[in-house]
Amino acid sequence: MNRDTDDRVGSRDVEAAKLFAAARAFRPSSRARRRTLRALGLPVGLSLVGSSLAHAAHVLTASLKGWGMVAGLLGAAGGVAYVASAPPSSSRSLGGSGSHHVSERRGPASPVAARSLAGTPLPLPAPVEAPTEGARPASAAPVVAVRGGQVSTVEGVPSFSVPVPKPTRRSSLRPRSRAFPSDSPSTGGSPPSPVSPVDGPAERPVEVVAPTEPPRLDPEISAYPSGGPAFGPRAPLPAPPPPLSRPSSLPSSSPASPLRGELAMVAEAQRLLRAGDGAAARAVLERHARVYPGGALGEEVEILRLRALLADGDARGAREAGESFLGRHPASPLAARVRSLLDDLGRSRRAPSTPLPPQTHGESL
Amino acid sequence: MPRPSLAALVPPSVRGKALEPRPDDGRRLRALYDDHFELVGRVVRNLGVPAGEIDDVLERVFSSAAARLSDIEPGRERAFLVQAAVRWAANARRARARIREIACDALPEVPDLGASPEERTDSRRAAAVLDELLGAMDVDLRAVFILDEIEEMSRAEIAAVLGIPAGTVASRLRRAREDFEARLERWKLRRTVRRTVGRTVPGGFE
Repeated sequence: MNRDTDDRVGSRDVEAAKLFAAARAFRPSSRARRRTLRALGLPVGLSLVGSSLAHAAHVLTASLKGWGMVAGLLGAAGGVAYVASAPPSSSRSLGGSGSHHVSERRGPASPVAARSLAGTPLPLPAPVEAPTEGARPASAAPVVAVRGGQVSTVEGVPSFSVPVPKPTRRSSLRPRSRAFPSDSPSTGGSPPSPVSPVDGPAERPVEVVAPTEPPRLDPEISAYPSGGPAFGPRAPLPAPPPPLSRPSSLPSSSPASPLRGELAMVAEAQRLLRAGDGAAARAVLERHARVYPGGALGEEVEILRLRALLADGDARGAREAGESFLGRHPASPLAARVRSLLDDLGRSRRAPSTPLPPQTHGESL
Repeated sequence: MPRPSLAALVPPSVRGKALEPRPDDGRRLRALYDDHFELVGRVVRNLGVPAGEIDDVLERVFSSAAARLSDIEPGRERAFLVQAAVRWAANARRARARIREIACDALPEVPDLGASPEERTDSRRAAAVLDELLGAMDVDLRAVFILDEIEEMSRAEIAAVLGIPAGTVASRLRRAREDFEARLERWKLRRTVRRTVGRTVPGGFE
């Protein structure tokens, strides 16, 4: 041992001793420490100090995180179980033949939750008025939703039929099935769709559809039609849809059809207008005036016509149409829109022949 | 007919060894780091790994130790780490010899004529001088030398840590010292010349 130390260069040479002492003072950088700790899977933060407290803190937080995950998953499972056990939900009655006991306390939240869990573009079943009597078991086939005293069909959403004791007026509840009969040619031979009228008398006696005779479902009724509601960006169709005469051929016993037909035509005109085809849009609107004289959407149609004229650059016709509209409906909620359109017209007269840019849907009417 | 359990399928040589992590592995890694990190860092540095690659080598040394933790006998951790450090440092030196780029973590220093080495005995300057003096030495020789001179281990310790016979340690140490002292003398001579002449002699006396 002694021989070792005596032989060392550092103990004989001062210069070498200085070099070795400096080399002995080397410490790895904190970056090297961090990297090594990470490679070892050890906690980095406090251990640069080198205390075992850091390890304890690491273990504690790791276990907390683990139990937090367990608790979160249990909570999610509980939520799923709750939704699955909610009788009016659409997911439950997929099984079909079971008899459901509708508890009165189940609110409309469970169909909503089931829908969000399913994540499908199913139409949202309307909240069911809590029935006081026991609900009849639903068969699997009929798809009937009860909406505040009105019976309507919703494709793909199994539901059940219940006797509703008190039909209440719910004008704000509109059926959400996107049916546009005028645009679905294959519905030609089918009986009038059992979709309830929007503006029909809400006090109508409730139709309770017996589960043994399900209403015939047209597969296209609630599917999005090809030329359906022009929500969102959509490629313009070259021509107005041919079966526009369909609403007039509908039996007059179906009060739902006129409005739907009108809506479809208005939507069609809007789409054509957005595509910049003012003439075609006006053709559709004129057909609307022929098919539905005195229709419910008369004012909207007039504004669309005005905009179609503007799109075609017919400033004079547009001004006349706007002024006649203001003269006839001065208090209409759409009058402000007409005035702003006319103002734009007055401004663009100084910079003429620039067709109005296509408008977004939100301000189209 | 009884079905064989899965545990019976594990070969007896491996059974119960490396299959499941032992509960004290984390604590052992922690002790490995706490007790030996600085020593391994010094060894890696003084073996001539350039400053920019010390991080890499240290990470590799400790990663290999963590991967083979169950193979390391208790009490032999330091030997494992030092041997791994020698291996990885030799690797880094070989890799550096292969590439043409000059590894430097900062811009190359312009020789400072004003300050003498006595005034600049910081570790960086010393490291540079050591690398200059030990640069041509073989890694095995250099490992024995720095463990002796810098870590001040006894020959028996060096033999244990490097896993080589004591006679080998003695012979390597003797050769390394002779080599180092010769280079040290030349370095001193060159420094004297530099001081008296007042400027760097290109290429020195070598």
